[in-house]
Amino acid sequence: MKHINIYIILFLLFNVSCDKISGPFTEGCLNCCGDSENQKPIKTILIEEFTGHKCSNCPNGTRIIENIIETYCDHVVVLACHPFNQDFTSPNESGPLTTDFRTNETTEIAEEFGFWGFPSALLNRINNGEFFQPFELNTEIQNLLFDENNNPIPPDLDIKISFSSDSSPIGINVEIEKLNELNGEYKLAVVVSEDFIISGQYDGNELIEDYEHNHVYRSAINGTWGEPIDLTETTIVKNYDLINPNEINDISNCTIVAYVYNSETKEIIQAAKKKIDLFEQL
Amino acid sequence: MKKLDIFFISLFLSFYALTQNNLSFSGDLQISGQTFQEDLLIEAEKRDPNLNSYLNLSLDYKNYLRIGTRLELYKNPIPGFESYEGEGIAHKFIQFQKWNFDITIGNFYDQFGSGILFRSYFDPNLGIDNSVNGARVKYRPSSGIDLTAIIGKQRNYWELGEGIIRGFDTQIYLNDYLFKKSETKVSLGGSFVTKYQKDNDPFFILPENVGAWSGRININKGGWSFESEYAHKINDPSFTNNYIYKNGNSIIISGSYSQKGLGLVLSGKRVDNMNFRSDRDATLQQLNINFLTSLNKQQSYSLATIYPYVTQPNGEIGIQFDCFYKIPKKSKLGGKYGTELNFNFSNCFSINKINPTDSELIGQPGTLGYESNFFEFGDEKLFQEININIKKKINKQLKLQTTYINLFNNDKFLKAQKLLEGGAHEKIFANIFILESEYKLKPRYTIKSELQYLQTKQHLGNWGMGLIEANLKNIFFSIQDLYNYGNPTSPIHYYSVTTGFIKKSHRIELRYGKVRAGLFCVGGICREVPASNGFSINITSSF
Repeated sequence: MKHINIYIILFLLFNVSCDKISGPFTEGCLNCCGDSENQKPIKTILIEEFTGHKCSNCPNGTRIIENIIETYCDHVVVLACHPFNQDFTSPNESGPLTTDFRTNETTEIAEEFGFWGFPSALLNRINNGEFFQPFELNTEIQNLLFDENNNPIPPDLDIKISFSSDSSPIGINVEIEKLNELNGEYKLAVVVSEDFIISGQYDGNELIEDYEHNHVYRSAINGTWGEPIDLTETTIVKNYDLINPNEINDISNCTIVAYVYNSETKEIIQAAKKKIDLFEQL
Repeated sequence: MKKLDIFFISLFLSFYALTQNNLSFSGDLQISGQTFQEDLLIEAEKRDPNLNSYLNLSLDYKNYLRIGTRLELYKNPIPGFESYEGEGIAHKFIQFQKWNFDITIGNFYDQFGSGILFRSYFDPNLGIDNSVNGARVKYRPSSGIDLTAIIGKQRNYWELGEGIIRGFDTQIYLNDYLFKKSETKVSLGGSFVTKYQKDNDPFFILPENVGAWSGRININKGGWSFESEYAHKINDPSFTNNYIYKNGNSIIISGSYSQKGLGLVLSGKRVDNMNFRSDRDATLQQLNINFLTSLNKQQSYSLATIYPYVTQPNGEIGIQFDCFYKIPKKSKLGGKYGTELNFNFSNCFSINKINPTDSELIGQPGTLGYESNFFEFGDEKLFQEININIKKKINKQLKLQTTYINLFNNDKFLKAQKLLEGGAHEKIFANIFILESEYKLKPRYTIKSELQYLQTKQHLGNWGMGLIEANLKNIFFSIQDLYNYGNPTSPIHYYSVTTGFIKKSHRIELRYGKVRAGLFCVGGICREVPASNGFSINITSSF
């Protein structure tokens, strides 16, 4: 009897219950999306997703990021970066993987922050440009966007992108409104990205020939590292021309992404995006 | 150094000072250092010299109390080991063994059954130390029954993992109670392990307590033996399984027969979503709770280790057959000293996976992931190896050994090998031939040589290898060259020279040469080794 008691005590001491989840396995996120009817600026973060069409694990990373977009909606801007000097990004001479997504700009970014492998992502370039694995992003994003009481953290500045009415070349207007006093030097970078590019992609053990590539970083409009901005002014306006880069498949599938970052820490403090609408700008 | 470490050292020294008369003191030391020169041909980078060292110390008081510790130092570790950078006390424990109790407080290593549910161990070459820091109680209530309970957090480099592990194991030797005089010996075992980790994820609804259980049986009669273990784990979405919610399971079965000069072993295993870690976000070799046995021959020849099999915890099914036969002495084929033959066959396939629902993809995060027919193989053969080995003693001085290996490694699926510029992962077929000789000059003086040849049309192409090694009492010396003459870019020599000295339990080894980039594996657990060129020193000593 004594032995049985000890057995029971040991079992109870070291044993606990199990959590069997029967579904649904995901949940919505209260307050995760900005209020579109309320024009109050919201904090928006940039995810630079490093991916490659020969990287079989990358679509899993992309699916996690698509879930993040679904959860955080207008709080998130994504750029899919395909750097040079990587086996997973090089195009083939023939077959479904001939599209060359690579850009010098994303290669420079990869080299600057010590890119280590696919799939990984920079998140507002925090922690001196730490490359996160996709599964790590959710928690980090939550911390960047919401405080301990789950209230949205207000942005330090607001970025608005609009297009001029001239038809060619397309004029891009970026207006930055300072909401809080900021110390240090800051830069504005403006980038064009493209959605709905149909081309091959390894996904697990399969080669998907008609994979839809979205958020593809196509080119920097004012250089990889952008240009300094004077935040002593409350409002700053910058105008650019979109010279149609040869690599772009369809301008109507392109989006302009703008972000402001601290020149010293490289950390991005606010991002914005606007889809190019040919009808609107005409 | 942390306050707790200082406290532990003080405790260690005080214990030593107060109890010297009844004490025994033991330990072992390992020091490894390496320089790294740039070598563009093998893609070796120039790096600062590294130093990896550890010192195990153990104090025993009488025969029931032990205090132990391990100090570790890692300076400029190689890529893949960077998180170990630093120094400190990595392992410390107090163990009490008396009155059928064995109680450990602090770090400990242990294993339930085959490790299918729980195994913590230390392998510095693989960068693995998943010791549990907490408490372990072992109790033998009567002869033939062993009970073990554990609780704690696992070591994660210089910190502890987030998750808490709790476990309980029972082992019963039935013949101590039933059929005491029977020649058939039967033992049964059962384990239960849970891990707890808080759910902070805003998107996935994650189980905070994940439980797993296993049952095992072992039957022996004469030269016959049968053993099996089955494990089941409830939903455990993690980075490694791409956040799917399917239950996991694994089974291993092995039957064997042995008598003088003959040994036969047939084993099989199936693994389905059984990656079990104490942190759901852990990767690589971090925080594994269980260990999935690999069922293929453990190779030690240089060229036979180029294309190893990497265990697939997300799904694999395979078998292994091993046969050893010694042709008797003084027979026609056996000759004066007999001839040893060994045949080994192993293979592994992916498991059957079908979509959980029509609208969900296989492996899609936030779903059940897939359904699997337990008895059906997947579409992909992952690995196959046939080994034939013959050992022959020619005379008192000379021993010869030859090996043929036929290998298939589905790197197109496993994606474990380093890619060549512009290349893709591919299915690798290889033939390996090895000839080894050992000549004894006089007792403790031997000359050993190896010739190896690897033929393949894939990946790095053909290899040749030559080795001469002399063991002259306390001194050893070897020179070897791995020649990748079939390399599609340009032929590469990986030469090295090694010398060293052994006395009692002390050993020092100096080496200069090139190391190829590749995988280093032990029992299906692998790590990537970067190419390097430079000097290295290894010192081991126990006292």
